[in-house]
Amino acid sequence: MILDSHFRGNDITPKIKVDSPLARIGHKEERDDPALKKDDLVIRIAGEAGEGVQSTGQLVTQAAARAGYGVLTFYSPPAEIKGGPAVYQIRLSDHRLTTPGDDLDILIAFNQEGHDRNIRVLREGGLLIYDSAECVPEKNDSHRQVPLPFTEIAKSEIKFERAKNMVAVGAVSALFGLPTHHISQLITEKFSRKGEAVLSKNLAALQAGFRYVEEKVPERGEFILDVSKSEENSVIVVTGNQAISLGALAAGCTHIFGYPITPATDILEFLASELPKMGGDAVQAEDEISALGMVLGASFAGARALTATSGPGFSLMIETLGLATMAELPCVIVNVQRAGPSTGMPTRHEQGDLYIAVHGGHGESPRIVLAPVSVEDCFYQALQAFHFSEKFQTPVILLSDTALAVRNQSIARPDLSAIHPTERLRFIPGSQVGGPDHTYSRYRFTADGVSPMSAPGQAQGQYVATGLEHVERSSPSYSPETHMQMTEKRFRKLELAAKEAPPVERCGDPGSEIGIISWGSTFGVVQEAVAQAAEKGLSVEGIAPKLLWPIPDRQLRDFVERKRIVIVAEVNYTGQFAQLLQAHFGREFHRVNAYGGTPFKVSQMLQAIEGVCAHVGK
Amino acid sequence: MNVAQEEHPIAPYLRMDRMPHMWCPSCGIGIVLKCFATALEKTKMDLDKVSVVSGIGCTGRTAGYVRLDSFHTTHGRAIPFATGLKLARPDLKVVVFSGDGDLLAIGGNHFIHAAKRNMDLTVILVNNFIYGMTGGQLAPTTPTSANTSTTPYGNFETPFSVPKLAEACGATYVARWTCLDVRRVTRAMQDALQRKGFSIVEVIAPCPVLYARRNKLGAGLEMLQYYKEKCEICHEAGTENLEIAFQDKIPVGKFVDKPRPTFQESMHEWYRSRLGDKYKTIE
Repeated sequence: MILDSHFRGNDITPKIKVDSPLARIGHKEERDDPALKKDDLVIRIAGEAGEGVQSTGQLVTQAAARAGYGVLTFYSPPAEIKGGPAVYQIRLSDHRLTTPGDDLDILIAFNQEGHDRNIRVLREGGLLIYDSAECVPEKNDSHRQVPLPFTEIAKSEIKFERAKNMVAVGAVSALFGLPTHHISQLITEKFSRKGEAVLSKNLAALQAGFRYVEEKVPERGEFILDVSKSEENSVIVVTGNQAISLGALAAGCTHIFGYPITPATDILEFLASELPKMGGDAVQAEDEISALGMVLGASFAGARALTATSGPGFSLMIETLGLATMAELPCVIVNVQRAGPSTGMPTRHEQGDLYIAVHGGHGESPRIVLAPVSVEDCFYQALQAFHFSEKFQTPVILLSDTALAVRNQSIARPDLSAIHPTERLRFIPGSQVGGPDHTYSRYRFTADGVSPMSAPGQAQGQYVATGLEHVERSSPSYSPETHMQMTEKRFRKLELAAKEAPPVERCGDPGSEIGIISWGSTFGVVQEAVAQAAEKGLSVEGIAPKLLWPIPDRQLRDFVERKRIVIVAEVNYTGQFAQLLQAHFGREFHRVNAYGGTPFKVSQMLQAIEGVCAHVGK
Repeated sequence: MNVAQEEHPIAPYLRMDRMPHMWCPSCGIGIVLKCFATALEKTKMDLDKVSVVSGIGCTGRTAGYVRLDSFHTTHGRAIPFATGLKLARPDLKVVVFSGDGDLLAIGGNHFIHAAKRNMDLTVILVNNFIYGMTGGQLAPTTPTSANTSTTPYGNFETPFSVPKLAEACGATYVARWTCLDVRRVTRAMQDALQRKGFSIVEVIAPCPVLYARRNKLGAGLEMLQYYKEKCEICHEAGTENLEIAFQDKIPVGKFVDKPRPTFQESMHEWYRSRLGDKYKTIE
């Protein structure tokens, strides 16, 4: 039965779908008054793309991270290259964050459209700051309105209209109490190359914005965030895509082959600037088919290689993915999921590619699928992906998503000295030959399915890497015995991978009889919703595996079997992970799905939890 | 003397445990493979430094028969795999050995771009005017009016002229011969192997079982006689007028031989000029 819970929302909040084995779940229409929280502040900058929305947001983000704030942002560019509405949202806190936040404390509108499209998500009692030259807001008693003539200040006071963004940066900094020296130091680093005149104008603009807010918004105590107790000492601010790129470099990746596609392109861009300095190559291929083909060529040669794409490109790679499985070539494919099918919504979020990642392709081709749950995890799962692919000589798909890809977050600086990239099992001449004439058996049967691999030119190590079914020594064979044994060999690797799954993430009360399983960036929302539920006296436990395929049975079985109710929350229509779990564990799951092209809001997740708790009577 | 016990002269270049091969009697691919092995022998290449990549189809089976590090890939994708291999192992001579359908239809985009980049690959393209392995369908090189199983009333499309296409895309060495002319084929392969950049040798070869029979052209011997009668050597003709009409003249020769920097040479030079000492290569 399908029970639809309609969530009252704004223009960016689609309804979510609840498909539950329960007879009836609680249905809640009213929303609690969002309690004012002093340890967390959500700011959204809205305006025209190309007008400085992004640069303003990035500067504030970087400076805040340096000052010790936990920072998490999201940027929504329009689909068009220039022009169209854009928003940059920054959430600040004295602790680590897991979502960009639902409702806004502060909205900064650069123009009328920025105001109109976003005013409905400004919380009651929030603050609207608008460029009085560009925007006339409607009278509204539920929030404070402060006109701020960004453009006018830049023009008349600074005599440099392009410094408008810097006025905004100054204003935002003053609002939440960011010490000015952090931001002025950052601006000095950024602009000193452009000469003294430009730098001083920007610094003056920063001060002007800062002063304006100090004078015109005297009561802003509720926005001031104290981070003196912050525990972050060494952080970097990166997006999920950058974290994946850094993880790949840390794993010893030397080659990336890619084809431009939103929202994965900046992985190729980032590595194209870094790899030439590290003895590697970055090549833009003519399409995604060749991108993965080149990856396999490099892997055959012994290199660690990567390709990064999104749904449409991943669809094109599917035949080649089967070759990687068949020829037992290590490779890592990053799929930064976006909303499909077809061209779909290139800049929107969806977790819709789990089925194709797990089962896409003809025949039965085992592969490993990993999903990072946070920006920081993007780094570690990229490492894990290379570890698995080198170890098991099989393709690994790293399923990221748009929410992680475009999110800037302050994360702990990874300790590179603790990382030791995995080496694939090498062929040692003389020791591992087999067969009647003692020639090399590339596909020798082994207990774990992994056979020693030679590199081109290696003495006695010649073989044919092939997509044809083959015997141990790689010559083609269509015999039933061969196909059965080789199929088993290829699948044996997955059994081991499931046992070596990276640790799961958990949150909430381990004793709770209500569990919630999620994957990818959805876990961040679950974490926050579970914490809010606990504040209301509702006990829930959340879990998120990083390994999605093979199903990490050992990690999940206890959770799945002991909980009275298990929710599976994911951003897709069909409940793809729920379906795989149901097939594996043979129990029913309570499905909660969002499918409007945006991540779950925390309030939606909380509402789903409340609905289940009401039914259970807790 | 017992001939059967004498080792074939190119046996050291082949995986003899996989013989007999799967090609039909009087198919031309075996001749082309023999020429390739002879070219390897004559150029005295270090066989540990030669790798062969094939796609799918009759010619695509070559990767399985050569005693080299070889890669039998998916249909049409030999060139991308070869590109990745060459980039990760610049010390290797990477040879793409495949058919006209594989390289020019499903793999056409890769062919175009590898030539445009001047990837340092040697492509041996066996052109038999038809899809052999799948049973005689239309190829991008099938002459106009020729009969195939998917053009049962004859082909009304214009075929690719391989040399013209290759030169237009940026190939730096382009030759075409028929497999009747084994010495010239071998010499062209030697040339191509010794060139840097995207070199291509097109070899016209008979498919007696499908192409010749469907078009009532006789057996393998008649096909070779056609080559003998209709071949015209025109080295300096340029690539403008090299089309092969049905059973008409076959212009052959070396049409392009003008080096330009390869993808990797250009890349190294460019990055060195832009990044200076920061640039690190894996040469």
